[in-house]
Amino acid sequence: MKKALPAALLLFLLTGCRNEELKLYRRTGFYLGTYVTVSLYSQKNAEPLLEKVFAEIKRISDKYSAEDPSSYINRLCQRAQKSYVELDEESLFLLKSSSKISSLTCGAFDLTLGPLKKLWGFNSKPRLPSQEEIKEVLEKTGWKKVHLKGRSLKLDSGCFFDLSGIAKGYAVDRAVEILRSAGIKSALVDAGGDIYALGKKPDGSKWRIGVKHPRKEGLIAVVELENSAIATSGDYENFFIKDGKRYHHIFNPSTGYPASLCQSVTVVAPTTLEADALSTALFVMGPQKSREVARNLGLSVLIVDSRGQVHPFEFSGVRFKIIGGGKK
Amino acid sequence: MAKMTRREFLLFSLSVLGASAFKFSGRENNRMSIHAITSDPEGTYSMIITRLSQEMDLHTVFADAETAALLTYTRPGRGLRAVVFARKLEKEEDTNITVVKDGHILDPRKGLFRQVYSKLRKEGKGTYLISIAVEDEKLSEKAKAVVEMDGRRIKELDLAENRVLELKTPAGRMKIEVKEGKIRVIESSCRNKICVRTGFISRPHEKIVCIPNRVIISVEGTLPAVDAVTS
Repeated sequence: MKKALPAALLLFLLTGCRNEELKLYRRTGFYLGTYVTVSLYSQKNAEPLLEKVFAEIKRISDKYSAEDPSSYINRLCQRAQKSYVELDEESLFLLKSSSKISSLTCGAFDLTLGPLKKLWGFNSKPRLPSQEEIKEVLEKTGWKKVHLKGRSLKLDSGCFFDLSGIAKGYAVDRAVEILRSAGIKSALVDAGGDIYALGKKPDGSKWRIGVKHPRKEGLIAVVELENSAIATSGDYENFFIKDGKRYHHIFNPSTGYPASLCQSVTVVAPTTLEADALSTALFVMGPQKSREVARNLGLSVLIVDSRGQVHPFEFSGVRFKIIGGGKK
Repeated sequence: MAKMTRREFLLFSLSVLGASAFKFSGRENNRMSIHAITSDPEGTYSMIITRLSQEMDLHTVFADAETAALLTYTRPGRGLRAVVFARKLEKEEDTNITVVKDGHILDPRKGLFRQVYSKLRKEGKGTYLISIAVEDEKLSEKAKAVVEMDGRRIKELDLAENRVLELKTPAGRMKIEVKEGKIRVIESSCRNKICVRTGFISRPHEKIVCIPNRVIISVEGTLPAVDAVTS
């Protein structure tokens, strides 16, 4: 006991002193259809920096808003249905990134599902559409309706983009870029569960991220991250139940119905954009095919399948600590 | 961790406990929680604890491993929490349990840990040294929920105090209930009712988010089990 006390005191003093210089700055705003929380450690006043970060998030949120009919992306889609329209650098980057992820996942990631989301009413009043309605809407969706020539975009009539599947992750990455270039070494950016962990915490430990249990209160896994992104797609956040069946907002682009192979998919990736888009894509693909993709790309992925079974596919250095069992 | 004697290990456990000043678990009101730290997070020890928790009707909350694993079990209705250090020993023949309460070593064969003790002796024979430090309710900090609207903290609610309150929001209204250490939204003017369907939350970093009402409800505690949650 006597020996332990000085050691404890020393440990306390050491950590106490080191943390004194760095202060935690934190701000939350509502953008991109969700909340965005930026937490950062800085020695000097970081309020102006937070101001800058949130201005950028707001810019992206406004520009790519699917809900606002006068947003840049919605106006662009309307014009592109008539003739070729030149894209700006940023939109070209987002489009190319999406099409890359789409081809990596055999078309499971699809940005043209806007009309389908509208039909199912997930942003307003959810309902179960008839098969005919779904079939009709599927005529308007799919990458084949998108034509890119150089920097110019043309869409088939009725087809439009919904970048919400990628804008959230992109906004987090942009926020991180700003923080990095301002010299911030330790920060966490969280846009509705799409998270980037910049550096380590001031105490030298990695950022600890919990993965929500898709069916129960609390967490199913914990993962430690450093300069890495994580995102989860689940069937539990936006859904309705009809005749005992759960209908949620992540669609299988080929059937037009909610993808039914998983309860949740968590992806750890170098960028939040990739983590965000891939979690959606792998959710559609299901555990078996996802394993292949994770292996090819060298990613760590945690899948809870439709029966509640947990599948950790760890092809990067990142490991999931599973906490709960898989079953209800 | 290198090989340690029983005494060294106990001292090590106590030094870690001292450093974190019993703030380890922090917040779960009227619950008993056990934190177990083991150098063998996926091994037999975890299995013993898991079985033990089922036996004692403890509820798993959280586990982690760096060089050690931190397992938390909570049990409603108990005003106690405990930190358990376990270590695989090469030499010791029996499972040993040391219970430390308020700096005093207790007899684990009596009282609360009697069950744990006999169970561990049976199942972990000859492998582990367990030391358990118990924290009394009076030492713990009260758990609280924070209600943020439009990014600003508008309310802090003591989770030990059952109540229902109405909230006027920029887009309408919400009704929030605090009950037995947990908090939930029972009514909301929003369309999709995602906030209502989230149900009760009670642990640090759990969140209820209502985008239309621009409200986030989160639980704050002294041990941030995680820094953020992906969902």
